[in-house]
Formats: sequence, structure tokens, C-alpha cells
Amino acid sequence: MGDGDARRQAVEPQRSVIVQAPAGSGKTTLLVERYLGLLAVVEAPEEILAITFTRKAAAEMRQRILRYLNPEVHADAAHEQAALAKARAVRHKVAAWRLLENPQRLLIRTIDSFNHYLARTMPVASALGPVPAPADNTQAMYRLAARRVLALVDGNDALAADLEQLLEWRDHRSQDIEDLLTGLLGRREQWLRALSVAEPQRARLEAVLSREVTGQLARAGSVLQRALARQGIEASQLLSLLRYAAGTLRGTGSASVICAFAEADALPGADPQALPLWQGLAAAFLTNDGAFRRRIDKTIGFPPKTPEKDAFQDIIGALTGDDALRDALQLAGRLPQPHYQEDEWAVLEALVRVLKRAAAELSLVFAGRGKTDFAGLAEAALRGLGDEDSGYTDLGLYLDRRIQHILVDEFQDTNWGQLHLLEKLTAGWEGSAPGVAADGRSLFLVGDPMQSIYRFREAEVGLYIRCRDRGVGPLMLESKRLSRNFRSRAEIVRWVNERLGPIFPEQEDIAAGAVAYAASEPGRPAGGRVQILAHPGEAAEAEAIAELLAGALAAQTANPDFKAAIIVRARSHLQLILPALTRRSLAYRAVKLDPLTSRPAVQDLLALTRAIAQPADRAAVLAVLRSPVCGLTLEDLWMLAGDGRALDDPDALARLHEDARARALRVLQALADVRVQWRRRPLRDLVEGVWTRLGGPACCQHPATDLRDARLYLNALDQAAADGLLEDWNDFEELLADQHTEGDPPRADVKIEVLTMHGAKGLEWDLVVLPGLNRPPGGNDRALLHWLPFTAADGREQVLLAPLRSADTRHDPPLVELIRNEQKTRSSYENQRLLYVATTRAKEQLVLSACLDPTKDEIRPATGSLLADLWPTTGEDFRSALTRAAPGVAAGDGSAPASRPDQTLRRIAGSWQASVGERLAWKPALPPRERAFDIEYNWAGMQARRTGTVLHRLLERVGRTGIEALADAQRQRLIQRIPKLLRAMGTRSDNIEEAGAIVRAAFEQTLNSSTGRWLLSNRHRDAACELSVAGVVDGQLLSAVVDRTFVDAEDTRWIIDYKSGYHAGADLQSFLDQERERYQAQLSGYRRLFAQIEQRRIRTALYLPRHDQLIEVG
Amino acid sequence: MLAPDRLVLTPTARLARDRSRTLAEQMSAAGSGAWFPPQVLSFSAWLTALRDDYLLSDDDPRVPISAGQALLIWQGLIDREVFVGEPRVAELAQRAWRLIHEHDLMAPQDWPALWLSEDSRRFRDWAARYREACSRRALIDDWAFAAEVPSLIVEGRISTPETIELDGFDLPLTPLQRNILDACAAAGTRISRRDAPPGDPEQPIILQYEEPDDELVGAARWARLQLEADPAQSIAIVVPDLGNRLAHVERSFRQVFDPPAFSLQATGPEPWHVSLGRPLAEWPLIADGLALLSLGDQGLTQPQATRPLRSPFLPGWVEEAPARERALAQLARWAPYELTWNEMRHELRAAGAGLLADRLEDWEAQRRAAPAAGWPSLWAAQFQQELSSVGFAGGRALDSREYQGLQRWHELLEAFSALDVVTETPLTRGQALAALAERAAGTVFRERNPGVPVEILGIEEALGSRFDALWLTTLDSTTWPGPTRREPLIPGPVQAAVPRATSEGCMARAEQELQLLLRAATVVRGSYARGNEDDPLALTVLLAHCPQTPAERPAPPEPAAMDHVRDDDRAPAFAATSAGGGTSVLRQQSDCPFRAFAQQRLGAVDLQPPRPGLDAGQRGTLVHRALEQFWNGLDGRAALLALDTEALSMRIQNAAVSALDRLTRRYRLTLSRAGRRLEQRRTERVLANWLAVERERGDFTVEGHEREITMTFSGLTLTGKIDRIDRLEDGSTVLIDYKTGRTSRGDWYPEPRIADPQLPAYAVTLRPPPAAIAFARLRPEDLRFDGLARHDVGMAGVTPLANARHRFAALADWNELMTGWRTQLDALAGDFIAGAAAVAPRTPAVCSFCHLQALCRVHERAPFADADVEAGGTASGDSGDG
Ligand code: SF4
Repeated sequence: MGDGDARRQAVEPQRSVIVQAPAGSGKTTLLVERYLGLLAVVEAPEEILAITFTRKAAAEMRQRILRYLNPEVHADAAHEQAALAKARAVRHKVAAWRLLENPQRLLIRTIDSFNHYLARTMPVASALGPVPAPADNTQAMYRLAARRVLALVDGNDALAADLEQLLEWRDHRSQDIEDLLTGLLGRREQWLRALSVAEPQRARLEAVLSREVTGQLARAGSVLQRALARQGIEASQLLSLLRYAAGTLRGTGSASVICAFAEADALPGADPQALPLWQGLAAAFLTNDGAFRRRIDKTIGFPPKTPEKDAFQDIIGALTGDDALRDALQLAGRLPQPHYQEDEWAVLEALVRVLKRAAAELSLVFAGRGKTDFAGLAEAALRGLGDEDSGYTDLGLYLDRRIQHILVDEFQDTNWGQLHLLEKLTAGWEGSAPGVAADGRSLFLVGDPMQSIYRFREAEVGLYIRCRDRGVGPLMLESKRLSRNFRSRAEIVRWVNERLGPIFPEQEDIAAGAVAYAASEPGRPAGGRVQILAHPGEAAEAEAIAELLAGALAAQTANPDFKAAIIVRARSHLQLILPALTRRSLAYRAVKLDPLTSRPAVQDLLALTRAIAQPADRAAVLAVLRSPVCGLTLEDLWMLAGDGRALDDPDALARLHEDARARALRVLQALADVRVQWRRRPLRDLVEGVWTRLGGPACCQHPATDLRDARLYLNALDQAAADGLLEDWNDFEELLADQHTEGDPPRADVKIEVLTMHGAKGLEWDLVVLPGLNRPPGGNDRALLHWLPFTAADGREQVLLAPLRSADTRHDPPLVELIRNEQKTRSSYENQRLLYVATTRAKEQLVLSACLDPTKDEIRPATGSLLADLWPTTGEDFRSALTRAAPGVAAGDGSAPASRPDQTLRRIAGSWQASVGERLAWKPALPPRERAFDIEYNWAGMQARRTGTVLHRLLERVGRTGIEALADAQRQRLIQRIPKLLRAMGTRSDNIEEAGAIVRAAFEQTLNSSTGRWLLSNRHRDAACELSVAGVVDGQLLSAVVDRTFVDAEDTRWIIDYKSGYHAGADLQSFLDQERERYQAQLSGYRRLFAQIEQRRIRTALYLPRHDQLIEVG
Repeated sequence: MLAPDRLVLTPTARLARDRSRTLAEQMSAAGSGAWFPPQVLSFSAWLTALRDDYLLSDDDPRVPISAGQALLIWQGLIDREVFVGEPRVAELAQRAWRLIHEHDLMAPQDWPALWLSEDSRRFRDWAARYREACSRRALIDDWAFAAEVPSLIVEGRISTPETIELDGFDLPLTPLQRNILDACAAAGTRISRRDAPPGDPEQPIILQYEEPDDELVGAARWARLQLEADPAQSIAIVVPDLGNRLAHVERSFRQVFDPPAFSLQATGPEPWHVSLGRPLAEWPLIADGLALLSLGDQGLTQPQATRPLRSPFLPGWVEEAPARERALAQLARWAPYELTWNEMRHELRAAGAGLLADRLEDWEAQRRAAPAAGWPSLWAAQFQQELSSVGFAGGRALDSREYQGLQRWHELLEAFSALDVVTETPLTRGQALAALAERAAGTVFRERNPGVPVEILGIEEALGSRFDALWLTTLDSTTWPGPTRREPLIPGPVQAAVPRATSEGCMARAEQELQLLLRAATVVRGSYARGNEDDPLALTVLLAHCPQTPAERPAPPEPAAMDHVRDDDRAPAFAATSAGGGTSVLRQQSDCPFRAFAQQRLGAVDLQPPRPGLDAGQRGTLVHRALEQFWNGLDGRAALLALDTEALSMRIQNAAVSALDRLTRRYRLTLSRAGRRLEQRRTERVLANWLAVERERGDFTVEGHEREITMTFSGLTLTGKIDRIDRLEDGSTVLIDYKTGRTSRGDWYPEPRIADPQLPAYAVTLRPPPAAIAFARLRPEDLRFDGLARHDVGMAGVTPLANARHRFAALADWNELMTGWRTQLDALAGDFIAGAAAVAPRTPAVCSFCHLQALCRVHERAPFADADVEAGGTASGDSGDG
């Protein structure tokens, strides 16, 4: 099918398709077009779900859709017409939906955000409860979970024995285990899945292993047979030679593995029983380094000057050069016995239990804090969607609309969780024919297996192939492939086809993630250029690249849109290139490359944070004193802090030169001022405040970038404070270690961008330079558990498991080695794809560069490097480029000579004055009168307060109508309600009787007493209960509520405040005096309020119902 | 003459307070000294008042419960087994319960089965259980009561006020409010409304910002300018997602209105106020209180210790803070992750923080008096007593906010004790504390508004008020309209009428709110931030017709003039003639001269706190000491060989025990019980395996362990301890250094930056000089000697120099090696004495394990500036325009 047909069919709404869209094939346009087409067939936009790989991609897709939908937009470009037509067709619907006003109705999300959306929508079914957005930094929670699990070793938990075993296995390196567990928790999606594939039962796992070993041996066996046949070597001849060698070796008492051949009657085959023979064979043929032997001697059983030795020498000579045989022998010689060692198995079992428990513990930690991570959300979303056994959830009950159409972008980087999600979302969609879903629904998957580069994030490119071939769940998909590249010029497309095509595997392998190459055809006119550079050293390479870029930029001055990129695999590959650019004044923009803590401004802030949060941290305070805002010289520092002097030693300060003293004092004073606000303002504000005051921002060398970095740091600090990470500085450092600089802000005049291959995905530049292709990847990381999921020959998923090797052994046991080798293979497949991604970023010109050592006899790239992958097709080009670049040069290691860093102390000028703005003076016009009446909190009085409140309310009730109007029955009813009132105040039932009795006694006493009856009488004038009164007293606003007030017959205003205090002992009078004293101010306030309202005599008093005492106050 | 019975109702509590204050200001401005204010209540406060009256005047046996109390009931009936841990599902259920009543939705028991999802089915069951629990215990919550109010009014069991003035109800009333007011009207209440003045909304200018932070700063600047022009204005800044941006808001406004305060200088009352508070649990005072309560009585970890030691709310902080900090620094350096209280107090006293130590002792006594289980009221009392015993809130004088916070804390305890009524079984301490903390996290508190001119408000709080000027932030298309928020526990059709539950409803609500806000002031401005590369944001289409301008970018700070002190790499000479720390001076000088200076002469030590368990260093020391112990009293190889299996293992065991005893003597919790067991076993294992290596050697006697040695290099005297000296048959000696890390003899190569100078320094000092020096590598996977010898000393791995490969091969003989060492070590010591302190790491790797990166400023030092001939520029990561 032609490219055009494929495109047309791929966007037809009724087809369910999986589309392979290689680099430059216009994938986003396709997605947008499909989406617009779908709008025509749905009742509401919420019926379409689009899943993108990044937030940026989601935003871009949304923007493009909205742009086409905007009636005012016209586009002339040919490739936009189809989308535009589709958009026009749905305009009336879009208007009715008010989609342009409410773009949130477009369900375009990343998988993480969609999982979050689902989990939040179904808090019960997902079993997660209400979830906030996934936490940004979960490392500390992983660590906490790991610690909690490890702490179980010290108790009665069933896990204690497992932990003990594991710790013992690893030499009780508990901190190391903690780190490893912490790391594994971050990747638990993978191993939990692996563990669920195969409940670790020994027999099953060993059977899997045995099949695997047999398979590999069988392959080795046929390689051997073919190799022998090709050279016309008789198997029996070889066998007898080996038996001879075994015999000789035995005779000398050697323990060589070759001795296994002593009783052998055939060359080894596929049976794992024959493993010792394979080891013997490998030892006989290969050196320890895995090369064919050149010297045949008695160490392998062939004494000199024997015919056997010569014969064997001939055989080896004939076979040398057969790399396939060499690899096969080496592999077979290292294969494990198809069963676990006893201790290995015991540890594996223990480890699996520990890991599962750690995952469970993590869930608890998350739940306790109301947090989760992406993996947790994915798990919850899957749970919420139900399963085959218990039935799939009907999303229509949760969402406004059922999802009818799904589009998934970058499907090559999907993982198992995402696939399961898709399976659940499309459960029951299968239609009558492949590629047609039931009820007009549709699934659209697009991606490019050749660009799958997210293995480290659990992406499995095999899933793409699997879905292409077997569908998603029972839903089968039509497969389409686009082939036109509209990005790169023809020459680049051709080069990539020719040079990368052949290095991709011929056979697809779902489990190993091997994908076949699909050639592209140029969609742009001829032209373009591919250049190969090779240099003897990195310094030379850096210079050449800088030179090349300078030239390109100079040539393109007329082209304002020209952009170039330097794309590397790892940041460290840029060490010499960036300075080389700077030397040529070539401005560049680096994006998310550097660890945040590598920035001087961030180091300054970090030091300041320590100096504020941990004032005893001398190194931190000294760092502030040395930083540009202060800049004490070494001599100053020593005079201040040498010989163990305290940093604020006044004598030492006095001895400093005047300038230095002023500098130091500024810092010390600021740090002292901070203490006043300690725990009053967020730590972040303290740090930023001091930094600003000392001139930190003004000292930045590159303000645009540095201030962004500073902001990032301060935000991280805020985050850490919110998450409680500042109690343990290790936690905060761990959080910081994860942060990267945002890089320079984009600027039109900066033409060169510098980024990593992963960061470059999906982008394009006119000129792309790929330096350091010779560099091997970073070190291998260790894991507690080795796991290897793969698809067995019968199509079923299997997994191999092994624990991290015992701390007592230096080398991985064969089983672990088997797993690791397999993983290496997988990552080498990914390397090829990485190369494809990197090279296809170029529009006009592509430059590949590497360093090679011309002094070596055989110029070979390092294993694991991208160059190694490229070598078979392009090695010759690199070699000749090297000769061109370094004719006859005998290079050293090429790295720059170790040199002493610049020792200049950069500091703010002594005359610098902070220009702190002015405070806006203000004071409240009518400040509320505070605290004047606040009574010191008295805990023990709680019960008294409750009875007091109830009493108050009863008296208020009586006062409102007047005691005269209170019928007996009413009075009884009020009394009966006392327990209820007390209960409403929160009193426990067993206390109610006692408290009720007090209230009742006081209430009745008041009602019966003459004072009480006078107070509550309705004969007074202007009477009120609970009366609000407000006014200005001493220039402050006083708002009060008066318990009881009235004007008596003498025209005196009484203001009464009820107090339910009680004094049990003798000397009642002094208690009453105290009370009078205590409430003096309060009542005088009331008096002054009333005095401003009315002109009559005012008397203020406290009434104590429990004593039936009226005390006049003031 | 007393107050007319006027009732004014507002939709929010803020508006009620605002009205009261405005009224007071008007009265006072009009010359009144005092007055009887009308009752201004928020609708919900009014309902509470009605409820309280009803309680007193009616025989309804049901007792009202607060939301907090109701939550406890919900919590008790959620099916826990459904969930992972204890997520806050009860709150969700309570929210749904509220929504049902507030919007008069179909009651859960009537929901058709066809509509039920797993979530709504569960909720329906919970709601049934909840109703049942309430009626069984004669309780009624606020929302259930409110829903009954209309019928109680009709029945005459609740009396209604004469008049009600509705003030600020700009948005439509909720169905519940409508029902209640309708009932009041039917009962004869006169209801009047004060509506927003009509008029056309302003066409605001919309400013575009790059960053949300800049947007807030821009709004603050504008408010300040407005106020400077006319101090009598009322200004509102509306921040829709205020809850998430509190810290930013406060920072921005402080920075703009009070720059001196922002830079930590003296401050005064602020003319701005944020309407939304923070959870009580986040107020430092209360956070510290809760943290104190959650400390265990067995012991505490170092991170936990930072809470009491750094809390300014504990007595003596003002005087003792430096001592407490010193104690923490000491702990970080020397103590394990976990400590007993005794050890803690001891450290405190040693550092001079006796006051806190005493308080903690009182606290412990109080803490021990705590019961195993009790009712909330009992725990409230216990918690309060514990805090009193430690003197909580008795440290630095409380400022007004802290004081208000303390009051809220007391209220919280009081509310907590009211949980007695809904608690069915006594709580353990853990449960009680968790419940208290949960409530502290769920209670929001903001200090009172003293009548400021500038208010920062959320949308809800802003509606219903009039201002002179108003700035509407966050006008992007994801906020206007916001995402739909369906209540997950309620079936969709049931909540179709709730505005926020449908996209149409959200849209309509957004339009309404915008219209109202635009009319809420005479001067209106708008703004939004453009988001980042990943999430670009656009202006809401609802305001697309308004003029937009990019806001002025905040000017970067004026760059300060800088000084450059060239080659500041030399400190004053070292005056003393000896230095502590053994050969580590030389090692540091070699690793990086600056580091030697900073650590040795400035005391810039590393305060990296410990982690649980033993670190590599401690484990190394342990093995080292065990070996020392093992050889103690044992002559040498002959004696070793003479030990029978049992005696050998006995000796090994004892050696390990005594080394472990020594390790845990000072700090009891250095190792857990299991940890100790494991460590004992692994130490024994290493020893046994190592001794097998020793048995393979030629004959030797152990001449000494931990032998002191005094060395002098360039006049600098150092003392060290030699791990072990063995004497061989021929009378010569071998120096042995036990190593558990990754080292190799390559580190001894005599060059200016010798990597590991320790054994070489001993070797050139010892008289007579040793015949060999060797690392005893004690890594379990790699147990062997690794050393260099003048001649064969019968130790595998200790290679005679003549046979040594690589760089050593170039040396003529042992003497040249010794002379080389002497020269290089003298040079290093000479540099140290001379004060040579250049920032010059031996290899970049040295820096990755160095805590001085901020002090030495290695990151800003261009590596090519003075050594590389072709160099010129700087190598920093910037775009090269500087
Ligand atoms: S960080 Fe590196 S340069 Fe700085 S003091 Fe430490 S070792 Fe020296």
C-alpha cells in the first residue's frame, strides 16, 4: 500500500488501526486529523480519549486541534488541507459544544494524567480513596517503606527470618540493602509484574531455566556443528583430541574443566547434563578473555611436540575468526546448571517475600500521607476498571460519557500497565472483523518501533509488535505503515536507510525487543549532507565540532530560522565541547542537562540554607562568608575561624581589616536577624530573604539562567519543607540530587541547542551534530533482584529470577550472568534505536563524530558504544575520517592535561549597598481590641466551661421572657433538657449526671434566689440578654456580648456578666475579690461602651449563679 | 433604645465579618462612640444559631453533632478492607452527604440500581449505616438538621426572625438555602435582598506574564501603587487557586509591600490580608506540638530530635539555641541514628543545654504516666499536661499570630475531647494522636483581618463584595471554566443539577462568576501566566474580547560591581609545629589543598547525619578492632596454627563480642538486637576467613597493634597509629593497614599527589624501616594482602618491588621508592605549613565525596583558565554572552 493510501485509511473513524509512523512522517498531523474526523461521529467530545506520551505533546495536540477548529483560521499549506476540511465539517457541532470556550472538554492526556483522572473518578473501586496529584518526589517515601520493612528484622514478624537471611547473604550491609530496596520500590511496577507472571515456585522456575539453557545449548550445538562441517573437521576427531587432553590433565592432577572430557563419548549437545563438557570445550578453545587460543600448551592438556597438540592447533587455527562460534562457545561455557543452588533458592524466596512486603508497606506509607506515585495511580486505575473474572467496570457510570474512541500516541514506548489499561478500556469492543470494533467504536495506535528508547522507564517495544500481530485483547487491528519522511533531505534519508537499516536485527523478537528496520522514502527534494568526523582525542573533537558549528552559523546568517543541535547520549560527553563553543563566542542553550547542585548560585543558596537551618554547621557559615556576597579571603577566613575560634568571636572580628570586618558583619548580622523569624516564616522565605539582602541575585554571573536555577532550588526547598524532609538532611540531599537545571531560557538569537538524545525525541533541527559516539554507556547498576521476563517458544510469558549475588563472591554466578547477558542484548537493540532517533533529527545536515585511538593495531569502538553498533556499516568511513583528521598523529589519551582550576575570588564590591525598597507605612484605622478579654487557657476548667455555657443558655432563655413568665412546667422542661445540652457540648454520658447536677443546682438556686429573680425579672426597662454592643474604646474597636442588662427602677443601667466559677473551700470572700479583680477590665470596657450610648448611671456586676453572688465591679 | 432586631445574612463568613467591620467603620466615622450592631451572620452560622435555639426549646431528643464528630462516625462505618491503608474516604463520604443535602438531591436509598457504580453502591450502604447509627444514638449532624429546618419552621418548632436581609448573595442560592428562606417567608419573615449594583462590567486590561510568580508580584505592585495614590481605597486581588498558592502570595506581597521585612529586618502591621488560612497542622507552633506528642518514650531518632531541639516554642530557646545546635552537630558527627532519651539528655547537658534536658526529664515522667487507652477527653488532658510539662509555648515570646494559633490549638483540643460523644471504644495513644493530627490537618486557620485595604481572596470570598479596585489573576482557559468536578460517590444523573458536576454547568458558573467579579469594582484588571513549555496556557476564551498586553518583565536585579581577588590560594602559614588527625593532613593536602586548609585549620567538618544501621566506616572499625582483639596476647603465626578449631572459634567469637561491646558502649541503640546478632556473625566470618589467609603466610610474630608513631615532615609533627606491625623470621618488619574499602597499592605511587600517604609516611619514619607495607583487604569477596616489599616476605599479594608492574616498574629499587615518598610527603607537609590552599582536587572524583563544594566554590572555577594554553573563555554552562 502506498504512503498516501495508508494515511487516508489510517484516519478513517470506523477503522481500528495500528500505524507505524517513522521519523519525519508527520505523525502529529495524522493524530490531529484522526481526532477531527472522530468529532464528526461522536455526540460529545468526551467520547474521544487521546493519550500522549508527554504533557508537551498533549498540549501541542490540543493547540493544533483548537487552531483548526477556530473558524477564523486559514491555512494554505497542502498537508493541512485535509485536517482543515475535517474541522470545517464539524464546526456547527463544535459551536454547540462550546468547545472553543471550554477546551478542557478535549480528553487529551498523558497516560499518567489519565490514570490520575480515573483513580480520582473512582476512589472506592480503585481502592485508593481520594488522591491528590501524584507526588513529584517519592524517593523519601520509598526509603521510609524500605526502612520500615528492614526494621522488622528485630521483632516477631514472620518476615524477620527472611530479612535475617537476606542480610546475612549480603554480609549485613543493611544500608546498602536499604538503598537497593529504595531503588527497587521506584521500579516496582516491573518486578511486581515479573513476580506475578510466575509465583516463584522452584520447580516451575527451574523448568523455565532448563528450557532456556537447553535452547541456548541447542543453538550452540548447531553453531558448533556447522563450524566443524564448514572446515571439514570430524566431530570424532575433535572428541578424541579432547579426551586425550583430559587424560593428560588428569595425569598431572589438574582440576581443569577440560577433564570432563575424560569419559565423554560425544561432543556435547542440548542436554544441560552436558554443561561440564561445554565448559571444557570453551576452556579448550578460548582464553579467559574469550578469544580463540593462540598458544596450545600443557595447561590445556597438550604437551609440546605431540601430534595431538599439532592437530588441535590446526583445528583452532581453522576455526579462529569464526566469531559466531567464539560467542556460542563462550556463552555455552558460562550457562548455569538448570537449578538453583540451595542457598541461592532460599535467599530468592526470602527476597521475594521481602520485596512484596516492601511494596505493601509502601502502599501504607502512601495511604498514610494521602500521596501516591505514578505506579500507584496506574495500579489503582487498573484496579478500578475491574477484570475479566469480576467483570469490567462500566465507565459510563463514572464519567459523563462512555469513551468510544481511543487514540494512543508513541505507542512504541508503551508498557505493560498501559497495555492492560487499554485492554480494559476496550473490553467488549471486539467486532465482526479485524480492524472493526463493535458499535462504531475505534482504537487508533500510532508509533514507531524504531524509536522506542524508554526501556529505563519500563517501555517495551515488543508490545507494539504484539498488538500489531495479535491485537489488543480480543480486538484485532489493521496495520498500516507510513513511509515518507517529510523532515530530512533525501541524502540523509538515504544514508539512514543504508547505514542503520542493516544493523537492525532481521528477525523481530517480541521479548528481546528486537524490531526490524523499515525503510523510509524521502518526502523532500534531493540534497542534504551527512558528514563523518573522527579524531584522535576529545579535545580535538571538541575543537572540530565548534569549528564546524561556527562555520555553519556564519554561512547561515541570512537564514533567521536556522537552528542546530548538539545531541549527546550523556551530559558528560559535553565536557570539552561546551567550553570550545564558549571560546568561539558561540551562544548555546542547554536544556535540563546539569544537576541543579552543580550551579554556583544553587550551592550558595544551599550553604545559606544550612547556615540558617543548622547554625552550628561551620562549613556552611564559612561558605556563606566566602561566597560572592561576602568574599572573605583565605586569610580573612583564617583570622576569623582559625584555631577553632567561634565564628562570631568578637575579638577575631575586631582583628579583621576594616573592609573584611564590614563584609563579615553583614553576613553575621543577617544570620542573627533570621533567628527572629525562625519558624515564623517558611524556611524558603528566610533563605531567599537573606540571599536578597546580601546581594545574592546581584552577584549572579549569568542572571537569566542563575535566577531560574535559584527559583528551582527554592521551590525544591519549599517542597522538602512541606514533605517534612528537612529533619533529615540526607532526605533533602536525595531530593536535590534528582533535580536538574531547567537550562537557559529560549532566545531567538541563540541558534545552537544542546540536549540529550532522549530530550531530542520528536524535535528537529537543520543541522544535527552527534559527538562522542565512541563513548561507552555509564556503569551498570546493581539490583537486589535480577529478573528477566521473556516470551517462551510457546508464546507464553515467562520470567527468570535470581537474587543479587552473595557478598562473599566476586563474580556473578552463571544464572545471574545469563540474565544480565540477555539484558545487555536488549539494551543493545535499544542502542540501535537510539541511533535512529538521533540521526533522524536532522533536516539538512547530519554530523556524526567519534574519537578513535590511531595507535591501536586494530581500531575498534568500545563495546556498548553507539559507534560499535554503527561500525559494521560505517566503520570504514570513520577510519578514513580519522586518517584525514590525524595523519600520522600518535595521540595520547586525548583528554586535556589535568589543570589547576582558576583561583580567583569573585566577590561583591566592598562599597555595595543593598537597595532595599521602603515599607509601605500603614496602620489599621480601627484596630480590633485584642486579647484584653482573653482569659488564659485553663485546661482543667473544660468541664466547668461546659457547665457554665449550659447555665448561661438557660439563664438567657429565662431572661428573654422574664422569670415572671416562666411557668413551672416550662421550668421543669428546661431542667430536663440539661443532660441533652451537656451532651451536645461533648460531655461523655458517664459525666453527664455529675455535671447535670451542678447545672441544675445552680439554675434552681438562681431561680429561687431573690438576686436571681431580680436579675431575670421582666419588670425592668430596656432589658436584654446576650446583647451585642460595639464601639470605640481607646481608639480600638471593641465588640462585646453582654449577658444581661437592664435599667432598674432608679434609672440605673445594670450590666451583668455571668460567671460560673465556683470556690469550694473556705475564704469565699477572697475568691470573690479575685474574680472582681480578674474581670475588672472586661466590665469597664462594657461600661465605657454604654456610657457613649446613654446618659445614665451605670453599674457593672458579676453574677455567680453557683454561689448566688452578685459582685459589683468597678 | 436597645438594638433593633435586625438579621443580615451573607453567603460566607468572610463577608459577614467584612460587613460588621465596614459598619463599625461607618459608625465610628459618623461620630458614634458605641452602638448596637445588627446581627450579621453567614448562612451557616445562622443555621447553627437556629440549631442551638432548637436544642434548648424543643423536646427533640437528638443531640446535634459537629462535622468533626460526624466524621468519626463515618470513619467507623467505612469498609476498611476495601482500601489500602486508611485513606480519607470518610471525608469523601461526608462531602457527598453534604452535597446531597445542600442541593436537595435524591436520597441514596432511592437511587435506582441501574445508576449505581461500585462507588455509589458502597456509598449508599454507608449512608444507610450512617443514618442508622445517628438515629440509634440520637444524634443529628448539621446537614441533616439543615434539611429539616423548613419543615420544623412549618411546624412552628423553630421560630423565624422578623426580617432577614440577604446581603451578597450574587450567585444563585443553593436549593437548601432557598427551601429554608421560602419556609421563613411562609412563616411571615420579611426577606429583603441587597444585590450587587447593576451596571456594565468593566472591560479589563489583561496582562500576560511568563511565570505565575511574576503575576502575583505584578498584582502586588499594582495594589501598592493604587494604595500610594489613594490610601483610602479598598483593593481586592482575586486568586482562584488561592489554596495552592498561599505561600507564593504571602511572599510576593511581603516582598512588595515591605521589602525590609522580606529581607529579615524589622516589620510592622501589613496592609494586606489573605482570606484563606492554612491547616492548623502546618502552623509551626502546632506542628511542633504535635511532633512532640508523637515522640516515643523508648528513644528517638536524630531527625526526630531536631524537633524539640530546634523548636523556638520550648523554654530557654532564646538562651540555649546555640547550645542545642551544638548538641545536634555533635550527634550528627558521632552518634548513631537512634538514641535513648538518657543519651539525648546527656548530650544536651554536655553541650550546655541543661534547661531543655531538665524539661525533657519532666516530660518523660509525664509521658510515662499516660494510660494505655482512654477517651478523647482523657487524651486531650494528657496531651495538654505533657506539653505543659515540657513548657510548650514558653520559649520565645509569642507574636500575635502565634498567640492566635495557640488559642486555636486549645480550641482544637477542646473539640477533640468532644469526640467522647461519638467514640465507642477507648483509644490508644496512637489512635488518639492520629485523630488529633487529622483534625489539625483539617482545620484551617487564618489570623483576623484587622481592616486592611488590600485583600487577597479566592473567587467565593470575593463575590458579594464591592471594591474600589480589583485584580483578577489566573484568567487562563484551564481555570475559566474549571474542570468539571463530579462527586464520585453520587450517580451522575442524581447530580446533574449541581453546576460543577457538568461541563455545561461549569461553563455557566464560570460566566456568571466572571460577570460578577468584573462588576465588583470600578477599576478592574486581569492577568494570567503563560505557563511553561510543557503546559502552555492561554487566556480564557470567555474574555477573549478584552485587550491583552504582555506585562513588563520583572527587571533582573542591578548587577553589583564585583571585585576580583586574583589567586587567593594561600592562607597564612601554619604557625604550630604539629597537627592532629594523623596522616590525614597529608592525605587531604594531596587530595585537595583547599580541603586540608578548610578541615584542618578552619574546622569545617562534615555534618552529614547518620543513617540507620552501621556505615562502612563503622563496620571497618569493627573488624579492625576485632582483629586487634584477636591478636592481643597471641604471638604470631605459630600461635595461630597452634589453636585447635574450637579454641580458634572461641577466640574469634570473643574478639567479635568485645569489638561490638566497644562499639555499642556509648550509644546503646547503635545496633538493634538482630543487627547485633548479624554483625557478630559476619565479623566472626570475616575473621575466620581472614585468619585462613594469615595462615598461608610465612612465619611472623605480631609485634604490635595500634602502635603509636610520631612523624615529622618538613618540620610538621604528626602522630599516627599503625594498625599492625609484624616481624618476620629474618627480623624485618611489615606494616599492615586493615582496609575494608576499595584501595590498592597503586595509591602509594610516589608522586606529588600521592593518593594514600598513610603507610608510606609510616614506612619512611619507622626505624629500622620496614621491609614491606601492606593493606590487609578485608572485603569478604576479596580477602588478601596487597602490598609492596623490599624483598619477598612470604605474603601472597605483597609483591617485591622488583616484580611490581605498571608505574612501580620504573623505580630502580626500594630506596628510590623510600626517597620518593620522603620527598613527596615533605613537599605535601611543606605546602600545608606554608598555607597552600588552592582549590585543586587530585581527581574530579575527590569532589564527589567532599562536603566543601560550596565553600571552595569549585563549581564556578573554570578549569581551563590558567593551565590550558589554548584556553581563553569560561566553561560555565551559560550561553556564553557573559
Ligand atoms: S569539593 Fe573538591 S575542590 Fe572543593 S574542597 Fe572538596 S575536594 Fe577540594
